Amino acid sequence: MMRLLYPLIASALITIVPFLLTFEKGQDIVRGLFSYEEFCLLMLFVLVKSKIRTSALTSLRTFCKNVKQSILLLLLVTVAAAMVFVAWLDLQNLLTIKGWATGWYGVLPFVTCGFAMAMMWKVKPFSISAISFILFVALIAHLFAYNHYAAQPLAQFPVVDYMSRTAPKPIARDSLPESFKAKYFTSDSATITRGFIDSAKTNVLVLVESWGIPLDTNRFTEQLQIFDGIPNQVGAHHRMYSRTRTAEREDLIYSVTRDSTGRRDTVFLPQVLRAQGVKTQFIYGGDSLVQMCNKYIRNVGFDETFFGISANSGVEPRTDRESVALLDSLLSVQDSALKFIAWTTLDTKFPLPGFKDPYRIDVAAVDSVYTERLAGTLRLIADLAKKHPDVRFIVQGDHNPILSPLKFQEKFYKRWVPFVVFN
Amino acid sequence: MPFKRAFLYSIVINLFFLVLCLVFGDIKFGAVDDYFMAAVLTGAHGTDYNPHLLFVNAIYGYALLPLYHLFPKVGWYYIGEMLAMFVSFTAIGYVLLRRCGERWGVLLVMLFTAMFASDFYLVVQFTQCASILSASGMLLFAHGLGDKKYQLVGLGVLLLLWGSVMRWQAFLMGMPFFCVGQLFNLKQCWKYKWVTAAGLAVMFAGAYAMHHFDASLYKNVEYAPYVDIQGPRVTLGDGSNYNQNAVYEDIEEMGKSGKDYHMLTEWTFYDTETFAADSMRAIVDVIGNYHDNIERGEIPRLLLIALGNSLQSPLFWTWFIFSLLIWATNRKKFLYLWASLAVVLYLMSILLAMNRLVYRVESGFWLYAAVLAVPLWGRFRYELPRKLVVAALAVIAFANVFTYATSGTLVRNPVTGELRTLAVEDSTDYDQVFAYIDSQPDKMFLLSMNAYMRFSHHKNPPYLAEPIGSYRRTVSFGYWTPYLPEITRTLAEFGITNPIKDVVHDNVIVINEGRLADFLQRHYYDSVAVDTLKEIGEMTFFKYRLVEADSAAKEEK
Repeated sequence: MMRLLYPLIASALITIVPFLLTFEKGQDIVRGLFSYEEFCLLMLFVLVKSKIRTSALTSLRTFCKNVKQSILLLLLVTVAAAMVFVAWLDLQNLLTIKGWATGWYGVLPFVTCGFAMAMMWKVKPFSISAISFILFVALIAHLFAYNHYAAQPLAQFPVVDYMSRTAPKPIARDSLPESFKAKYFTSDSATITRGFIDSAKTNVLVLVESWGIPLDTNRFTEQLQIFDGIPNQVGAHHRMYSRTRTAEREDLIYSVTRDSTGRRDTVFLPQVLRAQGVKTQFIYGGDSLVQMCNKYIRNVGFDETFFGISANSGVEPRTDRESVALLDSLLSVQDSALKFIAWTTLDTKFPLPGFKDPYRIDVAAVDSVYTERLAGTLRLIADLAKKHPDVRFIVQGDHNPILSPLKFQEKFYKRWVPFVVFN
Repeated sequence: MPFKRAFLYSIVINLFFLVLCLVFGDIKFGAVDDYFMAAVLTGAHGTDYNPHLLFVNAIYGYALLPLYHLFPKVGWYYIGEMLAMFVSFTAIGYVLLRRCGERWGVLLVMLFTAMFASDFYLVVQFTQCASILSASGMLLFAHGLGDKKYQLVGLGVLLLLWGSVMRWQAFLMGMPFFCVGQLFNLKQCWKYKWVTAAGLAVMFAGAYAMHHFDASLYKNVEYAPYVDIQGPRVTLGDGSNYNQNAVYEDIEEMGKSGKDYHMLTEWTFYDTETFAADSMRAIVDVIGNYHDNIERGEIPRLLLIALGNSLQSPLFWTWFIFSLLIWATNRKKFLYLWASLAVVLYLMSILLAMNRLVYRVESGFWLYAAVLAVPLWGRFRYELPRKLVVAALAVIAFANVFTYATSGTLVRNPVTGELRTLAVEDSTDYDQVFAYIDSQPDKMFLLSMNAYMRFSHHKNPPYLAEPIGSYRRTVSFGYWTPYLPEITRTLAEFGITNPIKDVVHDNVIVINEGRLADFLQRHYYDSVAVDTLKEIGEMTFFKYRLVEADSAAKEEK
């Protein structure tokens, strides 16, 4: 009985001492009573020690000649080292949860393991099959007890915990960091346009395709430098989905009402503006039939639409440069009516031209093409905004880059897009 | 214990539990798959028997055909599976009795059968059938070698082959355990090396030949569309271990419809144009990019959790007790415990990485590991007192009669392992539903997969054959039956080439799928309307029709 109790107590000592010494009132750390791995190592330790003949230890020379004995001694040292190592991992797991530095606690594994080995010194060993039996039953007993009472597990598995703790975690990109929020205006709302429309001016709404907020802040700052010299306001806002179509619609929502039967009725901004006598126009360089763009754009309330391709006509989509020229000509028309023009850009739409497969391609290559094309589009917008200082420009991303290699997508925050308002 | 008496005892104990199950249990297939495989076999979807069973080797179907021709009313598919399990249990019981002597043997067989009778006889299912057949085959093989009874080795090989017929993958998953078991018995295998070699050769050659034969049955023009759709169907219908939102958004970004993708994940895919195999594969390709990725470092922790869950499975405890019996009787072989645990954990970690660890597969592992511990037992030196054995037997028998009588319809869910009944709560009067369908013999009924599956609970019980043609005019939009040649033929007879597109035909009525108009307008027609013809309980009959755009415009004026 003592043979079993001693290693149990010793392994409990190794686990519990660091726990007690770092204990704070109100902490919520679930921890096993004894360390399963230490328990196993302790029994092995006693077994190996018993095989070493003390007579062989009288002189180092005779000892070294005896191969079997020296291997056993080496094994004993290895087991002892493994014990300290596991205790060290256990301590580190604990300190990581608490967020503490190692400090003087680093001594603990050596002290507790030393004590444990000293305790075990006189204990009689189990045979290898008995050890195997005990470990087996202990494992199942732990699992059984854990299934019924999870608040206090019997055994602790420091190595398993360590592996799980240090396994690479998915990159957190769901929320913006505080540092970003301190620097720029951020909003959880999907709708930004309504708040920035200047009813006394002509308004241009630009949805920049796949313009997301990079995790790398410098990259964002570089993009913003393109707009230097134009009065602007920069921020970021949240989107419900990463879909161009949703962005085109949700951003133009003026109000959503439910009638008594629960039917939803959405009023869109262009409809409201049109009623006020504003001319509403929509520009898109791509196909009008994709996802029935023509239909929902008409429903949103645009007077005039300018699509690049109407059907499978074989015509290449309109580039952003051409779209800007078109937009410029619309803005330059001299009449008294105010205008509201929405334009969704196309140059940075994924999959980018020149790449055959959306996913199995070189991330660096995608990144460089994307960066270049995005900068091109932003520059065109900046130039146009400079040329028409009397027009309000509301520029924003439709969604973060998708339909590309995951490693590339992970460079951007999910569902967050930037916006810039000029003039 | 003498051969004959061991055999007799085993049969008596198994008959006792079989009768308990049949009398008090809910006699149903454990999985809808089995029901429909039996239905395909009896020609319910067409005009003749069809042994193409998809998951089960066609040889099983061919073997049953003579019986179906002799007694066409009987559900031989079900009876074959029940027989497989009865034979397997009896074989395992026989070996236990031979190994442990009368008293220990009877007690162990009684316990073993009591633990699993309900899990197997009341959840009749081809995968479990394959596991128990393979496991008992392995046991007979190993025991026959030790007992120098070569006919048992032969019988073991036969059971293994039968197991491979019922489900190839379950048979293959048993092989690592078979190897480990044989390794621990290496001495004996070497002693009878010719028998061992011959047995293994026959087993592997036979299993691969039959598997190859089955695969070759699908390699023809007639089955090409059917085979083509299987891969994407499985990924889209069963797969959930990926970021579905990201897939949806990428598909939208490509200019395709995310709603179409949703229909596919909900098993509505019988559209030969929009959901042709190629376009389904294009979506599967997107899915490939968003698979959940389990980090290697997380696997030990997940394995501990999975092992903890295994404790709820009676097969786990069988393995536990059988392993402890090795320790008690033959300590040298105790390492088998860690070896078999390692194999289980290894296979579990593979399945965990694929997110496909389900109860019936997992309990298959424990079954193999448990059964293969038996040949490693030594002699049971301690003899139990006779009175104790009799008392224990009486208690077990009484307790089982009581539980079966009070909660015999409760069985373990093969996916999660929770206790539940197989019957589906449904207040619909299916006699009315079937009468309504029969009253319109010139109409084709297209069903949502859910409605189709529910039909299975209210047609013939498993021990009766589903008559030829009984499903001919009810075709599902999903499941693994679409594109079966007999279904394609029947549809063609009704002038239907593309089921979802052709729901607007005059002779087509749709059951429980009233939301297709959006899809139809997206891909095929300008304007589609849907009327409700009839509602019976939870079954609703819809009629889709085209709306003339001109006439609608005129009406407005």
